[in-house]
Amino acid sequence: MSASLVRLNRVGLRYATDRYALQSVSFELQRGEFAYITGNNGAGKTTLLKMLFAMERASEGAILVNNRDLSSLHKSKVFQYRREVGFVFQDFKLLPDLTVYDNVSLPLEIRKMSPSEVDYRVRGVLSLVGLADRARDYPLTLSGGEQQRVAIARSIIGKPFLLLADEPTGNLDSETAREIMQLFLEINEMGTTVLIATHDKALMEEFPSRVISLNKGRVVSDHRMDV
Amino acid sequence: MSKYKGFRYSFSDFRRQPWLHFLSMMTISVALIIIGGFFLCYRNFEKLAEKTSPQISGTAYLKEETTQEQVNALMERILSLENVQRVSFKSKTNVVEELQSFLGSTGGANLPGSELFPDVLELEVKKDLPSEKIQILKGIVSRFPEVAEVDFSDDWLAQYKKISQVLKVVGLIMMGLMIMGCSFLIANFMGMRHQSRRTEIEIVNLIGADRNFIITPYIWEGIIEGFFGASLAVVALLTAKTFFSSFISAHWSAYLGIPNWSFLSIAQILVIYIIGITMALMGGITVFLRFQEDTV
Repeated sequence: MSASLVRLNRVGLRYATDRYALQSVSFELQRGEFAYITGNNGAGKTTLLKMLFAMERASEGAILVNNRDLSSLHKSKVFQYRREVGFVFQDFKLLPDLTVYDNVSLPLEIRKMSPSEVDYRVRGVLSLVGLADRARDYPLTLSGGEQQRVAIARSIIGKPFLLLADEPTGNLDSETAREIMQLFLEINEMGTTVLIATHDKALMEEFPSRVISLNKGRVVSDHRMDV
Repeated sequence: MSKYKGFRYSFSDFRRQPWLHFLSMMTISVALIIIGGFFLCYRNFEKLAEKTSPQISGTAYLKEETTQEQVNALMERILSLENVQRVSFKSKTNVVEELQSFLGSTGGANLPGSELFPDVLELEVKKDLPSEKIQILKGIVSRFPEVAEVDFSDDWLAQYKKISQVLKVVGLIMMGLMIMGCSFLIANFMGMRHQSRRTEIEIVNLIGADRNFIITPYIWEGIIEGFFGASLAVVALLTAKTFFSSFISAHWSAYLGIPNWSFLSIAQILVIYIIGITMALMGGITVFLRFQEDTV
């Protein structure tokens, strides 16, 4: 079995108009790694994350995640794959009619986990993100940073081996963004591989790690930032 | 999602968006009132048509020299024939009297040519007897030696039956179109309503929900809305029927000859419930399937 958790080999996505969103993208991510995908708007960061989350299908090349070939992943099996991978969205994607507790517990409800196990894990993960006292509140009563914490809590409650985040600090002030990044590092230290799409250079400098840069759908550099 | 949780989740949505669900229920109800109203009219008009459908009768003109004994024997023979319900004798005197009474005068001698009238036998046959059987019966009766001629009111009856059949077919086609139209109306309305919950479906889909988890609340909602929508429709139809029945009984029963109008049969009520629940389910399932097509 390969040590790399994610392997992309000459991955491309070509639209019907013959325009490429991604072209010949190749890289690997090791288990437990923390990495950034960066680039300007339209560079292909979100498309790449969507491909890794099976929201888009590559038109060229191969994507292997945990030895699973995503290009041959059947539509009916996508939901199983998504239970093993977490995704944090820039716009949080929380259900406004459900409480923080219910939003976070939803991935476990889907897995038909017992109520006691759900309760134990939800309380644990809410403590981790610092929202134990907001469990009964509704998302719209929370600040942007708190909502993002709820979204992170929901994405990690299923204990994913890979956590993807698309501009998770894009809508947050710098102080809150720093707290969120700290949270990602804690999650990574617990063993989860984390891949974050961002164009916030300051944040990457403050929390240095591997950086994969994209430009017009191609990888233009892959390096480790100095501490 | 377990069925119980799906049920609870659906109910929580009823609490969250009561007006939206009420509106859905009312839309279903209105569509079902239209369909049920058609069923109600169809059922009662059928009853009315049966009640007012004409009795088929025939007249056998007897030969001049026929004796009373021969008439009696002939009546027995005709009555023993298949499909004949009643036979009655009318002497020429009775015929003339009836004609005079119809014309508003008395005294057989006053009617010129009345001596030419023959004695007759009036025949009543079973209702809804097909034309071919009437023709056969006519042939048998006309071959009896005492009978000079036989006449049945079957020509216009055949026309009447044809028109009834055409009206029945037109009614059924209209009912089919009405059900289809109402179904599309409801499905579109539900589709639009569930479009507002598209984001919700998208989110649960992204966190790994399977088809059952997503669709279970919609199934419960469909069942609940369909059931209550149909119940409202049935109650409204029952109220309308009671009102119109008493109105018709008070004013028109003498003309129509039906004192009590019928409500829907159990089968028709069941059909209303099935259509209601199906309509409500269709909306949710349609939007779910559309969403599934859009995703990878």
